[in-house]
Amino acid sequence: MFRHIKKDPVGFVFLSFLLLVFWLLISASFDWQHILMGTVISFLLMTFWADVIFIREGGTRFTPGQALRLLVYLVSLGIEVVKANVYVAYLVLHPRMPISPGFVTYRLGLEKDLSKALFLNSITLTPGTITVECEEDRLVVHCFTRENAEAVQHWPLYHQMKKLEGSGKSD
Amino acid sequence: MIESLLTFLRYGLVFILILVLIRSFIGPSAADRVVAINYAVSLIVMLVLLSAPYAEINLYLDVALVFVLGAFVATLGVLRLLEEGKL
Amino acid sequence: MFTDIVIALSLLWGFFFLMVGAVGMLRLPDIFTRMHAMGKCDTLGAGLILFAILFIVPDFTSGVKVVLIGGLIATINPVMTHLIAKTAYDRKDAVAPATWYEDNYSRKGRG
Repeated sequence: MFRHIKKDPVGFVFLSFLLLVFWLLISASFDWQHILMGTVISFLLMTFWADVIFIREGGTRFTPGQALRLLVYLVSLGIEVVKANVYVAYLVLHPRMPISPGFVTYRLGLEKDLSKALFLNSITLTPGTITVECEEDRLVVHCFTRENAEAVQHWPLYHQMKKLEGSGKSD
Repeated sequence: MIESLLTFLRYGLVFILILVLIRSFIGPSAADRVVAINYAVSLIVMLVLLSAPYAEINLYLDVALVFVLGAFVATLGVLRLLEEGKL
Repeated sequence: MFTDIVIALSLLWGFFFLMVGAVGMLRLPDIFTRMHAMGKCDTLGAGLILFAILFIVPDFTSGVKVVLIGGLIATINPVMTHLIAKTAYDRKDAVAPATWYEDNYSRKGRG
């Protein structure tokens, strides 16, 4: 039960602290009773449920440069989300709906689970594409039109994500 | 001004909710219904937040938070049932 | 006054995008295209309405809760879209008549 503390003490304490912050935010009071209660409960939660969170050896570490890149990534993702919504609004409110939907299979070049998940979420949020399936290296994307499918191949967010992944320490 | 806009938005959200529930009623496959219900959950959260009076919005925020998390878990359960045939 | 204008504009645009999502859910031909409407319009519409509510709430902790709800919706929605799409794809649900398939995986290199 306690082997996760020995294996990765920093990650353990960090995640417990994150849970404590969450508890303090939603309880919205900062007296000593709440802090004591939150500490005990978040420690117990991490002790019993660490099996679910630490699925691999070690953990993911962030460097400051990586955090900055992540911020830039999120800002450009926000711009893409607005563009995607305007595009969907154009297609849906168009009287004839100029769509020709299709499935495209790609090779995905990312290694880490976290960056994979982030990248797949951002594919869903960008114009005209959603992820359908991703197994290991094989990525199935559903597109509204053929132009969207072409646009996925040279996509600025993908290169940002590659750089973000490359600049950090490995697991 | 904002008060009357909020009143308009409440009726508008109920109208959108009816449109989405029509899709969940006629949806040909089970996944269609899941999509429609998932959209309806977001609309209900927005409706809860916009129905709150100015002074007491703190109470309604907790309701919305729990609603989002509960709906997430419920949809996961339904999808697992669809995928594997059992829970 | 300026705050009122910002609140009113973002409420109206959020309402517009939620409306587009609902209309798309009725008009689009098959499940996958409907999921486009859900995943995108829901995120931005709910996000804009929550942004407006951020100006209405009285104190700091309520604001943090609003941001938390926004973050939860923005992360849960794409995950849900992906899961529903995967389920429908595995169950081989009906697709729109003119759907095409293209395989770039077998080719050498990415894309």
